Amino acid sequence: MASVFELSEPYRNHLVPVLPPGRGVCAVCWSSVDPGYRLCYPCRIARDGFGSRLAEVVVPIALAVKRQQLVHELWHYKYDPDRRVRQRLEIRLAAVLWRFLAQHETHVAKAAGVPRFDIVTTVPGTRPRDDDHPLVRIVGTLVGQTRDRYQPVLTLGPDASVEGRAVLVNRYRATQAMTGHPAVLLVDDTWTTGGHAQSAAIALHDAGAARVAVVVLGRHFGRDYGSGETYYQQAKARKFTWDTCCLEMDPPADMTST
Amino acid sequence: MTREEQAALVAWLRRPGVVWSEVTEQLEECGSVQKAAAGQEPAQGSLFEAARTDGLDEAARDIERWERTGIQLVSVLDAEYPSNLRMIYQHPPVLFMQGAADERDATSVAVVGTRHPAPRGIDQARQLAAALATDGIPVISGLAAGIDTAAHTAALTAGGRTVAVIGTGIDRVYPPQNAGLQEEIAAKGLVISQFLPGSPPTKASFPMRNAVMSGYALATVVVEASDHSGSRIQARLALQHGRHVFLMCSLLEHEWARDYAARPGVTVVEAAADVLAGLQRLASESTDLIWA
Repeated sequence: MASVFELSEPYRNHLVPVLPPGRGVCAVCWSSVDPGYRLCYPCRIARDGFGSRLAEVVVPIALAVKRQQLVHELWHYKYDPDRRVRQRLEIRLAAVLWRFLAQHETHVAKAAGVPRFDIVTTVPGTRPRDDDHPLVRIVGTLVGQTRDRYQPVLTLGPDASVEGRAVLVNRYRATQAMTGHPAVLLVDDTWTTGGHAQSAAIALHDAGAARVAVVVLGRHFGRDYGSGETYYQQAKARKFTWDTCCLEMDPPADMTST
Repeated sequence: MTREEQAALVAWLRRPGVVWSEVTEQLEECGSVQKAAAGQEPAQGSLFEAARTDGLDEAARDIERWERTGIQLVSVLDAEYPSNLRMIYQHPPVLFMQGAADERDATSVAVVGTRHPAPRGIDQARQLAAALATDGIPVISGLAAGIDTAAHTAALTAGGRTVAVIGTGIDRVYPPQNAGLQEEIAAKGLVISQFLPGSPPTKASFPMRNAVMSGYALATVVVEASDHSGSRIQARLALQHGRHVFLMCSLLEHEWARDYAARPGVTVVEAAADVLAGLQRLASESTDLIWA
């Protein structure tokens, strides 16, 4: 039997944290933004189009930096043709989620304005597959912190097959009314522009959920995009720790001046 | 993968300016060479088309010639591609192999160290490799002079399995004095190269080889390594891959080793028995998770 501590601890060697809130950091998805902007372009478009129907808070566990190990794992745990590879990565990523939520779910709930989450669910996968989506196994079976609250309350909507990453009201739909469940923790593996997770948050809000918080394992990150390299170097220098999540971090001195 | 697909892949890899990590990504995303390569090609006139076909024919002829000398091409789309290596981000699109694959390599250990060891380092490498080999654990190393040679040789002497991950094309030998050893490992174990046959040793090829060695093995043991050693690079890469690193305690005289010793996923060991004990925990594959 593998332990969460044993499997999650080595991730400290290669995970890169997101930067704390402040100048140069998107106030929604924690990615890099050009100075002078509070939100990155996709988050700005989403806010202008959907406002309060979006998630109340988004928390990435780490940056998923292009051509690094976490990005690799977040793809291969779903799609590697070798079943043993998928299984080994699935259990490791489950350990990452469990470790993070055990230490920080209360912070996520506080940021969403609720004492705790009643339901935990996942963003449904859009690629057809023969087996259960591994993220469902992670959240619904492997992670002790979530399995008792897991409910598959989302399914693909009429616009699920629309290409691209736009936020769409009908990309997903809730399978039940959420009015009795005020607070939902929505888990996804990767946040790229937020199109899928935010579409799922809209479906949950529209079905009556009062608060939706998104936790993603990795915030996809390209160092060669905009001010990405500066952001990356600052983030890497901070070193990843399980003890502090991005909601608790103090803004660095050089990022609070404006 | 069919011969045509192999030829298309080799021809693709030979195109100037091709980034191999992108080839791996495209192959995995598309699931076939044809689909992946098609996505990479600009609209081409008949002149370019003819040049491309020539490349295919040449590649097909080369693959046949390689096969006649016992060199197998294994791509990331083949079921024979090593599982351990699939798990790391630096897995190459193709491997050239001479020898026999073995399921036991899934729990193998890379034993690495300096090319210029002290007698103590040679002794440590020999004892470690012999103990691993006797316990049925394949010994992986890089066929370099010094610690690598000691590890391969001791594993063979103990009647165990050893695998060489080399920093040149598989039809070349570096250093030249290891020609006989490379031949023996190909006959009794396995030689692996991630480079096209004919590729010379370069400054970049050895660290690239260290990444593949780290990925192929379940864990890496560093025996003796100075500040600028390739083995230190392998320790760093292994941790980036989420792999376990064992450091011989004599390394603690170096500042880099003392720094590494404090990191998660690193164990300082005194003898082979410590590595074997640590390995048992790493090798236990679990499909269930507990908090502590």
